Amino acid sequence: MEDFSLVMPDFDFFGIKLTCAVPLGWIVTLVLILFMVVIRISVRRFKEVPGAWQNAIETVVGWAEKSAKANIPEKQAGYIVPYVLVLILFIGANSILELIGIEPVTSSLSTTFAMGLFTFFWINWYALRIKGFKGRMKALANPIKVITDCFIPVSMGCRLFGNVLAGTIVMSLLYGAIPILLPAAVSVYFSIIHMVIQGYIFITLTLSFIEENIE
Amino acid sequence: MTQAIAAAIAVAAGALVGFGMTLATGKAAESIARQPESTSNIRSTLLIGLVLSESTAIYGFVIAILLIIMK
Repeated sequence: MEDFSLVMPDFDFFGIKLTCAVPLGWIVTLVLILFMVVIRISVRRFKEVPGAWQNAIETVVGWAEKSAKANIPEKQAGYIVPYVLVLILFIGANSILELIGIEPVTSSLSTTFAMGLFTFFWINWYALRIKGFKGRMKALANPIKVITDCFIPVSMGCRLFGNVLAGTIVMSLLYGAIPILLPAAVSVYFSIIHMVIQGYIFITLTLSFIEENIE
Repeated sequence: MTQAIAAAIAVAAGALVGFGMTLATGKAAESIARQPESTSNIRSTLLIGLVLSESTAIYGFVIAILLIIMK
């Protein structure tokens, strides 16, 4: 089992012990920010007739807005759209990280649990904003509801972590068994599509949990 | 040795979940065939149900991994 390096090595950051996932997460964030800057420079001004880059951006942002507005009343939907975009971009960038041979950040349980905590925050934020303090307390009067709500970050974190880790293990087994040609074809599914689907599921679940709590 | 057996039992949850997921997908296909106009509704409901039932398999998998790593 030692071959898979399932537990990430530690990283010494000025005397603070960090998991390797933290600097990797910084690198992914930095790459995403650079990507945004490049897009901003290449698309100076949004035109009536879109070019190639503008078309791609409009597709992605339009998808995020549409899926947010399907679940949340239109007035408040604007807040969740950046979160949805960040989630899909971060998880997608991680899948590309896995292709280079670096462990994806989402295969560390702390990262996915933190993402689950963000979802938990958004659920409570929307519930308090739309239903008010009284309405939220009325919904939480049922103890089973409290337990289900508190379990959301755990279940979402474990789901993303388990799926990404399963993909990583399958790929590393395959690299060990047949190192040439076949991994190139299979990793398209097990690295990219698998992880992007998990990101999509994460977003869908976030939105449907919010919808459940504001009704 | 006992850890390996425990991990195998934990992973066996996946087999039952696979059965349940095929059942749900079959029912969804049936209802889409009966009412093609509500396809998008059925699809989103199916997706959420599948994901929530899949989490059982994922828990089994995570527990098996943890059993093997944390000796």
